[in-house]
Amino acid sequence: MTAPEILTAKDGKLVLSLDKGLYPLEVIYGAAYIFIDRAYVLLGKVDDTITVEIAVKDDADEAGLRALAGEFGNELLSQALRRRITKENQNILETIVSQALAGATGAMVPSAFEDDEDDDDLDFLDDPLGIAVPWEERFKKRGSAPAQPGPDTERDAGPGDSGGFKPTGEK
Amino acid sequence: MSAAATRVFHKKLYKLAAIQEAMEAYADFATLSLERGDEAWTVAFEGADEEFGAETLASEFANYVLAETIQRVRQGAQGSE
Repeated sequence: MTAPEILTAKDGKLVLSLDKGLYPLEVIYGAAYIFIDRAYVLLGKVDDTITVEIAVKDDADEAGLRALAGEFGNELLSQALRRRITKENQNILETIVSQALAGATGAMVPSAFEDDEDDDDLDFLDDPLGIAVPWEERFKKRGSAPAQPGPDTERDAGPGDSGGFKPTGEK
Repeated sequence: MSAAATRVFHKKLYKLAAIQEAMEAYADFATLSLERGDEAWTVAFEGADEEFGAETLASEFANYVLAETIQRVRQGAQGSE
């Protein structure tokens, strides 16, 4: 027997016989669960075969019941394939989940960010590249008069102005 | 009162805990009794609510037990991995 065998298909009730060796119980559970919303499903066991009794909630003739048997058979195959794929990818799934959980707990730090720890001793006021030095001060010609103080230049030099020109008030 | 109905749940296919939970859930709709056999549990429904009928109630009960069993089996499988 390779396919679900129809034992009964009348009076709104369908009884199928399944080979337990061909369809694992987990697969039968999965298919039965799909049909619970539109039919009453009762499982039984006789020797090495499992019987599935499906009583439709709405009226159905014999053709409808046989169509339902076909749907159940398709669902069995779908569940069997899903189970096989899950087993084949079990290691990959576990690896992905474990890495995601480890990353979320901070156990794993990407190596690209580890070098940033060397810059932590820098103060936010430090300016090693001289970015905070005004353009006028950086490119000012030696000996020329200082620029007229304006609203932007009249200020005390900050810590980032190291090496810049500071007017003394002499002409 | 509705006529009695019974449902047989094979021990290798259903979980007793699922049956007991279903019996608690359906206690208000009928008088349920559990008989323990060698290979199966049998649940009898007596005095079922007329609105539903014993057969419908028993079928709904069987669906409930099946769904609970499947969930418990799946939870058990996840817990053992």
